[in-house]
Amino acid sequence: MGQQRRVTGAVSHCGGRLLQVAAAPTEGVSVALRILDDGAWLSVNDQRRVSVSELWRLHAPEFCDCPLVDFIAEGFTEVSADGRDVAVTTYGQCIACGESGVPGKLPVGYIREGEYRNYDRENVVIQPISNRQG
Amino acid sequence: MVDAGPDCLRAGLLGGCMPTDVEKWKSEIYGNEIREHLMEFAEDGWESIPEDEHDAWFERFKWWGLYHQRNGQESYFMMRIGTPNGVLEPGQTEVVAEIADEYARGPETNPEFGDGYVDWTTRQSIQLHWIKLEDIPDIFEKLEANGLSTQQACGDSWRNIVGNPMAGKAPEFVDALPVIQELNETFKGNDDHSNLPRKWKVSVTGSPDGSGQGDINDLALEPASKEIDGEEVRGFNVRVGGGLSRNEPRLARDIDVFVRPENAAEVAGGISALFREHGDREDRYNARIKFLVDEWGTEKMRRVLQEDFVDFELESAGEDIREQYTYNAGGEEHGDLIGVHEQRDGKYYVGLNVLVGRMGADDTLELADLANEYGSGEVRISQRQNVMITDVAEEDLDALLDEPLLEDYSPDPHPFMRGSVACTGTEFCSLSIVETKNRQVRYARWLKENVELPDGVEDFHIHLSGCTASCAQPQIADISLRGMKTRKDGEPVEALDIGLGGGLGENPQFADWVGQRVPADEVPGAIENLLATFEDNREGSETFREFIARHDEETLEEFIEPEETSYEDPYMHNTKMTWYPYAEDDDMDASPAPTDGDGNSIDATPADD
Repeated sequence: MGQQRRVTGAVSHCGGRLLQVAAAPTEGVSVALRILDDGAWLSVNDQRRVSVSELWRLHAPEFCDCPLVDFIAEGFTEVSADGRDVAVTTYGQCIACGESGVPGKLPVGYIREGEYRNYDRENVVIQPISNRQG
Repeated sequence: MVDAGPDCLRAGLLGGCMPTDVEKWKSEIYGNEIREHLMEFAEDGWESIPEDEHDAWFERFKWWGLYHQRNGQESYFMMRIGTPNGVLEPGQTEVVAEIADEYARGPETNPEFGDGYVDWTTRQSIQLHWIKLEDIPDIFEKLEANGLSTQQACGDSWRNIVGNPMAGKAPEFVDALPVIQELNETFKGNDDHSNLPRKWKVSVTGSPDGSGQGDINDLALEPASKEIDGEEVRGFNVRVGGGLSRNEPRLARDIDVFVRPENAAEVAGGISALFREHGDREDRYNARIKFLVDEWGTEKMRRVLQEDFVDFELESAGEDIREQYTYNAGGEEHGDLIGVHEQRDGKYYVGLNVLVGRMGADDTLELADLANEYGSGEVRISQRQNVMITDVAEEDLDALLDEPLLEDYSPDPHPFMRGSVACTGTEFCSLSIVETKNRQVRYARWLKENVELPDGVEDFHIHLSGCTASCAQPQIADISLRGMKTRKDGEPVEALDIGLGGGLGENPQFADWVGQRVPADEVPGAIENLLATFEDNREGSETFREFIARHDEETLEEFIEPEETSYEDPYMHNTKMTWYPYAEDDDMDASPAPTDGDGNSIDATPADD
């Protein structure tokens, strides 16, 4: 590769590129989390793991009056880590009532033993992290 | 809690304000130097790209016109070829057709378009799909040997420059093509302008019809005149900060600058440099210059341009000719360059309608042959995804019009066919929410067969975009369609939001989104009902755009009456969750991707899914 500089994403001097997941059982494990292509998808360790256009059920009473928000993910704006959870700040719309906006940080997966795992988003009710008790 | 920005993690843990990952990658390797690495990866094969560097390299590859296809199609790329002002010189169309035929073939076929096809885009470029990394050196060699390039076709730099595709041939107030060529030569591969905060879309128009669509570009040069030292000088007025994406449409704003053609490169370069220095590199969502114009206002934009980026005294804006704009202006004049038109040299050009801009490789080759046989060999691409054969002698017109290819790509198409524009959609695109091109083909055919347009309506634009990125430019159509989801009988289905009344012209207007989440199979019925409402309530010879403008939003919402009809939609399921919407087994797990250079699968499935 000649003079090519590899972007290996070492935490030490990339500052903020890789996420140190503090609550991960394996100490020191880093997981690279990125939102790319105009918010089209979440990259985890350089693999596309969550894409826009998924339909999620949310428990988010502040977002709209529907008992369960029937939420289409239209765009991701941020990714964050809260404990072992990986959450995406997502712009979208409740397709039942039409309310649109950002319902909060929505957990889409988690880190276990240093590896990212998707939640079964089709079959769970997602609760924005800021709404959680305790 | 640790937060990551739009495209990277911003580690509060590590402190300081960090550039986005994309900006860091760009600061390390970007622009021309990407090519060396791209070629090495191509030589060594898909698996030679380190797995933990995929994001970085795929972001960089865009600068060379390569966009990694969506989830389920790993290792395949969309390749965009930039053709300034949509001009394909003699011989180039044949080259594009041959490349599409040989390399743009995927593991499955599209039921409407088969395999191996060319997309003419809304920015007068060309897109090919299913390109394998390993084939790129051969493709580049063939393109470049014939004067074509993918350089800066995507990525954060000067994109393909657009304008009236017939610049240099059709009547013009000021000659635009030499300016476009100078800008292209100056800013393609120019290290000073190769790494901008975001994409940089430029339109240069010299014709009096407004067909350069300057209003929706980052930088627009529009025809104008100005008296300078007692002499009338023809040149361009400068507008900055237009664009349609992200639910934040903006019209380009007048910064009170007139530029002579010979100074266009210096002024355009000054504005590009201003964007380079002052655009937002910390938030890609806020990076386009339209947001800087929002923040600064036009007076500051002009002042900073004058003080810091241009070495001569800028002229104030000249007198524009916007009142002459007919292109997509809401009247009955087509303005779309379809059909037979006389050039200023006495020869003719023939504009052919390409439904949703997609043409098979065989047909593209035939197009090249016809251009050679009847014209100069040149073909031009319009921003309505159509093509023009130029330089046809009057005595050859009848024979050209009798050619069988023109039965499928008509110079006199039905309004529903000529008015259809569609983006790439979930077939290949990461952002799109719904299937688009095949659906719009089916819409146009059904509408043509089943719906009569009211008297006198010859021009009717329906644009279908899969998401808010707005690549099909939905906000400037009579009927704007944008991808969404809804539930029907309890099941999730693909749906569309419906907007009304958009268009360009002297007084451009963005569509008003008045119909929400209409199931995709009920959209043709909604259009049929809307047109009936228009016919019943129209005042005199009122145009559709005038009719829409006359009603308030609440009334327009009532005009949207979705209805099931005989139209059938095979793409109601969640096409984005398939690896390819038209595959017999479309389950994501059935994807053959990624594949090696021979198309053989390489197992790279994440462990937990």
